Amino acid sequence: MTRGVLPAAGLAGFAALTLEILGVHILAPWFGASSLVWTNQIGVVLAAMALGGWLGGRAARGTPQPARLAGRVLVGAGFLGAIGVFLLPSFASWILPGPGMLDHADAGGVFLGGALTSSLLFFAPPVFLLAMVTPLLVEERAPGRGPGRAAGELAAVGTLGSLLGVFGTTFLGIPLLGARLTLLLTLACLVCAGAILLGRKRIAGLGLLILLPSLETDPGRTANLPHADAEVLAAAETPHGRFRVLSLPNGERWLQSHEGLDSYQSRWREGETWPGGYYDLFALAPLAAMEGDGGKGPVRFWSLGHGAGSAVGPVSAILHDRPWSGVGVELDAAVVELGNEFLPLPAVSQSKMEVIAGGDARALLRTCPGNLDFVLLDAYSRQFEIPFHLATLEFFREVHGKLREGGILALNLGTPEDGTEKDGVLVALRGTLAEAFAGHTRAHKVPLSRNWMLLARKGKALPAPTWMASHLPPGVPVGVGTSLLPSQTLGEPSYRPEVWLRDDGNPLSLAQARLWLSGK
Amino acid sequence: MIAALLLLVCPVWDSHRIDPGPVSVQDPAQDAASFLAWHAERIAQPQNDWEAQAHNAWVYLQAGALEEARRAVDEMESLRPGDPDAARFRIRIDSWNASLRGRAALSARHWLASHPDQPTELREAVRRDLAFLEDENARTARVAGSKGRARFAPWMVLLLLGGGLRFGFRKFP
Repeated sequence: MTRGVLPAAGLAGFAALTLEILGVHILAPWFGASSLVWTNQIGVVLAAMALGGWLGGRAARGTPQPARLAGRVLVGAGFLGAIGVFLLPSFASWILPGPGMLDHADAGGVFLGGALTSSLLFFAPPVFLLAMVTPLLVEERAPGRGPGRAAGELAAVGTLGSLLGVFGTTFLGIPLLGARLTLLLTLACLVCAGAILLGRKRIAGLGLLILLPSLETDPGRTANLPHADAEVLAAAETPHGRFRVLSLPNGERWLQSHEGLDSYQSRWREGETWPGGYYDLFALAPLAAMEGDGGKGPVRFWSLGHGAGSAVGPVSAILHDRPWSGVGVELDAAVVELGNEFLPLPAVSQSKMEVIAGGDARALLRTCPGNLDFVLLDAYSRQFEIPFHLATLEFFREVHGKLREGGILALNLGTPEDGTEKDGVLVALRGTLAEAFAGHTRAHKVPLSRNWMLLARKGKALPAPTWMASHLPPGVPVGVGTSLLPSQTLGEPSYRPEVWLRDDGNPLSLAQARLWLSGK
Repeated sequence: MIAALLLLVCPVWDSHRIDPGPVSVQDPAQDAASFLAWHAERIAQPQNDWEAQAHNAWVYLQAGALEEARRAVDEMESLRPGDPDAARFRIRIDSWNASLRGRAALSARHWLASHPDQPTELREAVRRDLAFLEDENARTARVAGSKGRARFAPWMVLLLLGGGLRFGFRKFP
């Protein structure tokens, strides 16, 4: 019997799962890593495995030396996978319109088609070949062990390999080597395993060629820049995704995740309290919370989805003569590190903020003793998706429970909707918030943008926009004032239980995906 | 006075932020509090002459309050039909709306052709708007091309892979 059959089966299982998981990480700088991209990738990989298994079974019966054919198949899978990694940037450049051209509103269809094509073109062929390996090796091993035992052993080893592929890539490969190098090493190992089955060591040397692309700078660093002259200051790769810090020609720095484009996770300009965009409207939370609070005691707040802390500047500007302290919660520690280095808060604010990195916002909020003056919620995963467990009636009730009487929840929502829709993301979130906060909610449109700032208050009506207007300190950006005009605000929504988002029934992802794909 | 104000309307450079542009100390749109105080005054004591409406349009546009700016421009046009300044403001307001940019570009070309007598600074401002709109329209066309490629590419690849699969299944019947 040929040597190396069991390790080859294990490696095939390992590589198939590695291709599936790292494929999305490698696609992410160009096409994002939304649920839609993940679904495409998983679907394409499963289809390739099914077809590969089928053809592998037929090939096993039709070849006199199944182990040798398995060796050739492994070598082919390794080289095909590497060619895919090498060609992906060129393919993405052909599909995408170029730096600064595509904005998030238009990206849905382009990303979905681009990611699906990439999965089919670059990841399906090697996975297809890998799925042929097990039936071929069963045929090889069956004469000595019996078909049932051979199939069982190989299936077990292949599954163990897949298990290693899942955990190894997420917890070791990406943090230590990065997605690209991990994938290329795996593909090189496939070539080596194939060479062993073929008994031709020279081919194993050729496998080293696969590692050549790892010598160049990762092309994903500069994918989808929002401006042709944007400069990448730093980049990081974690199991949660890819992050980078950009310096823009207008002097701003943006912290971006995944596909970049025109959206940012944090925004910063040296010496500026007000980062601009929707961040400025987080100033409305302390302003509303201070109505009727006596105006003297220390203010405490939590910021969920803290990023690099862009919301802290506007909050501190409103609280300038009050003692305050805040807790920022950020899922990914790499985001906090990048923020501290490239988008630092002023020393005064830093000393008042405690940042908890590496934990989920909902889980960590439960550890908060409560009596908070306000909670800021700016949690987006994969750019356009609000994590659905942070947008449910149950979660909003948990936030409600952590606020003092009169406390405020301020939530950033990015959507092209204008509030006149009967259904959709804005209607669902406003309705759910209104139910959790007994109707004390209001939405403020962020001027000249796609964002809304949703406010909700515990136990009291929100202060009228005219009251808020008259209590704004000098120096607040004019956009905050504009958001208080009647034309930019939506009051309490009508009572519609059918739109509420719940932990066990939440169509938010679908609604967000529908909006994204509509290209509005 | 009004002509000077009209020159100060912020240039549109992208769809995501307002470039503050040159700001005078009397500018009510320099911060939120002064803008809202000015707005409250306008609501309490409405003035319906053309100069007041032109000033309103300018301030609202500076503040990103497009709906209010559009109302003021409508008033300007009703007071002076065919008013070139109102037409310029409308071009600027429409520039913020992706679905109106084609119309805005046509209006800008029309404005430049029909108002050769306007001050050079104003004509330059409209030219800048037109350049922005043409860039945006070119960008939209490139994005449309990208969308088209993204739509047909999966089918092409499926055809290609189907051919490969057919070959494989023929080789191992």
